[in-house]
Amino acid sequence: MELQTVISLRDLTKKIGKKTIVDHLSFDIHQGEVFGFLGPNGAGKTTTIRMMVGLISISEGQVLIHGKNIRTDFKNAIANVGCIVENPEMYKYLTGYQNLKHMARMAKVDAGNQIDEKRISEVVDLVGLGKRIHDKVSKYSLGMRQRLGVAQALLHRPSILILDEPTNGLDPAGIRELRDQLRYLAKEEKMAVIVSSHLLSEMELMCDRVAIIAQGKLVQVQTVGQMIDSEQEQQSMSIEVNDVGEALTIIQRTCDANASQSAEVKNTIQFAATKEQVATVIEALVKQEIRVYRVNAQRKTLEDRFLEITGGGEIA
Amino acid sequence: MLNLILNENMKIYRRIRTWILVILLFLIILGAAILVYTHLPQKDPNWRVTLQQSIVQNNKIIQQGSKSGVPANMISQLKIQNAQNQYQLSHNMANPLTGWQFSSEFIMTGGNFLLIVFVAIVAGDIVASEFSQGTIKLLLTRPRTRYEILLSKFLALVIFSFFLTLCSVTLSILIGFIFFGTNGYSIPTLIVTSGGNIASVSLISFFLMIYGLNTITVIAIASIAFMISTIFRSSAVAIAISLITLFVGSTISSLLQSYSWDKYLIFSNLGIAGYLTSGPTLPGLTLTFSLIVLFVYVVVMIALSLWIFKRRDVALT
Ligand SMILES: Nc1ncnc2c1ncn2[C@@H]1O[C@H](COP(=O)(O)OP(=O)(O)OP(=O)(O)O)[C@@H](O)[C@H]1O
Ligand SMILES: [Mg+2]
Repeated sequence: MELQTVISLRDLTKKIGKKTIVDHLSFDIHQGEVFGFLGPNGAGKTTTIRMMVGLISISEGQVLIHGKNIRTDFKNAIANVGCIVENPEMYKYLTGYQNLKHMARMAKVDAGNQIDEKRISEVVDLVGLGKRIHDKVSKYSLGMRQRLGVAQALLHRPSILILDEPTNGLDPAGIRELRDQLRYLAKEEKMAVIVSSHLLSEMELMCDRVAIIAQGKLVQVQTVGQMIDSEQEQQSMSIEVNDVGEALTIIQRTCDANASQSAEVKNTIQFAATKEQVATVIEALVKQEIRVYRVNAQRKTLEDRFLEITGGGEIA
Repeated sequence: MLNLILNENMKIYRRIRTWILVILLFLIILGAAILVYTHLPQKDPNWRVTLQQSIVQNNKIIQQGSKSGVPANMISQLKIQNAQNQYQLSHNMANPLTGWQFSSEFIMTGGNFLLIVFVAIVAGDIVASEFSQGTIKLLLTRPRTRYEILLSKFLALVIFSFFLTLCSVTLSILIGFIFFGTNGYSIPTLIVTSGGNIASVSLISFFLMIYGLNTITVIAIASIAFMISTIFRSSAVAIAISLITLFVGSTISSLLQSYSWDKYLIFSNLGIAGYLTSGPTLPGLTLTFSLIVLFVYVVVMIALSLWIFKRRDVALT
């Protein structure tokens, strides 16, 4: 499957005074993927998104949306984008429906992409606002405002959806629903969905690829799969056996000299090993007629990787 | 662009605040009518004598005229008063106030300030509130240029000025009719011409002229509020500064009278509707001159707003 690039960042930089807030970011985002911006508070995620949608000026570099430069060809570039930057803010004294009508009138005027009442009720159904769409937004809960935000972002059938911290303030059920919706839009509607977050476990479930940003710099872009288990990497294991003494000697000899008996769990040894080494250890134990009851891999989460890569909870 | 103006209109007229202003306008006009009604000079049996005396006195002042340093606009006013008194005498009208006169008096004495304050409230808020609510991000991430966004707001404001003026005309005429009767359409309406003479015009054209000129003043003050709103993104500052311009402006203008550039200040040119009823306030001012000056000020203020709005980084506080 060929991956069509829909957004390219090229050395994107934002400077305010002498401070560089976003520092030469370059990467591509493809059609049909959920792409995450991951970074601690103050990493520059929101600033990057604001440059991508033309809310703030770009100090250096460029943003290309379907090959069109956001700075020099703003109208044609932004027409492909639907977005919520930070909070889903809407006109509180209008109803949800009037808000959508307002956004429909802002769309690009061309014959092929009319946004009529049918389209409005389509997105209302999609986000599940139902009859409440005719209530004033001032009466909405945060979850409903988030839904309305998604509805207005999808209204003009964009090929790119950009959401800054979309799960902020949502309850677990709301987060789950949003996640399913975003995955659906990427897989079935072939949209490129860009989300930012510091909720790391959340990104792991939601994204196909993640760009890790720390202090305005790109640390790396990886698929979520790559980040979690790489073949060569050692994982921390725990193993429960009947004869701890014998087993410990074997493990220390075959793979991890630092293997140790667990202080908390009886008859359990902790050690670090790659995938292949685990197989070797089990084989050796069984040969010595040691009974193996349980083997656990403490799966490394994105969170561990993230803290490893960004050097802990340091805030820029 | 039409769609953007429709949006801005929706945001103005769907807000309760706008209708509170209209209701307030209604209540104030009603209050004014009640006040005037209860203070009408009660059937002076000697009203003919009183009017004749006042004509004689006015004539004296007019004859001494400019020699004795009476300002030109005062003299014009007296001339108009005399002509009206004469009309009353020859048509045997004890009380000249009718619904029509109530409406024109209202807009010339207080109603004009009211409209300016109300429009300034909306103008000061129209850009600032988008920033304070965060909805500016909705406007600026759609395929419209920032110029289009800001201009549509200004045009909606111009439409709102006319809307409020229209409310004011209708309400004051209706309330005037109820309290003071529907006669008086044929009472001559007199204006001061550019040459300083007195001319009679039809009631309709008189209304069009005073309400029209007043709307231009309203738009000029609204432009100040609009510009401040765009620059400082604070409706309180915008409303305050524009209203200070209105209330302190005429004082500043008369203080600086001795300077030749005084007439180029925006303050000196705001009272254009008054030129019709009593002539210009400063020597050298004409209606055309003031209209041109106001037009230039409005264009410059809107251009400056556009320039700043275009370059603004939205957020990064
Ligand atoms: N006007 C400003 N002048 C200087 N620095 C600023 C300004 N505004 C923001 N910053 C800095 O820019 C950096 C990036 O901010 P940004 O909001 O992009 O971070 P973020 O990754 O979105 O963080 P969060 O997870 O908290 O939302 C921060 O360190 C912030 O202090
Ligand atoms: Mg942020």
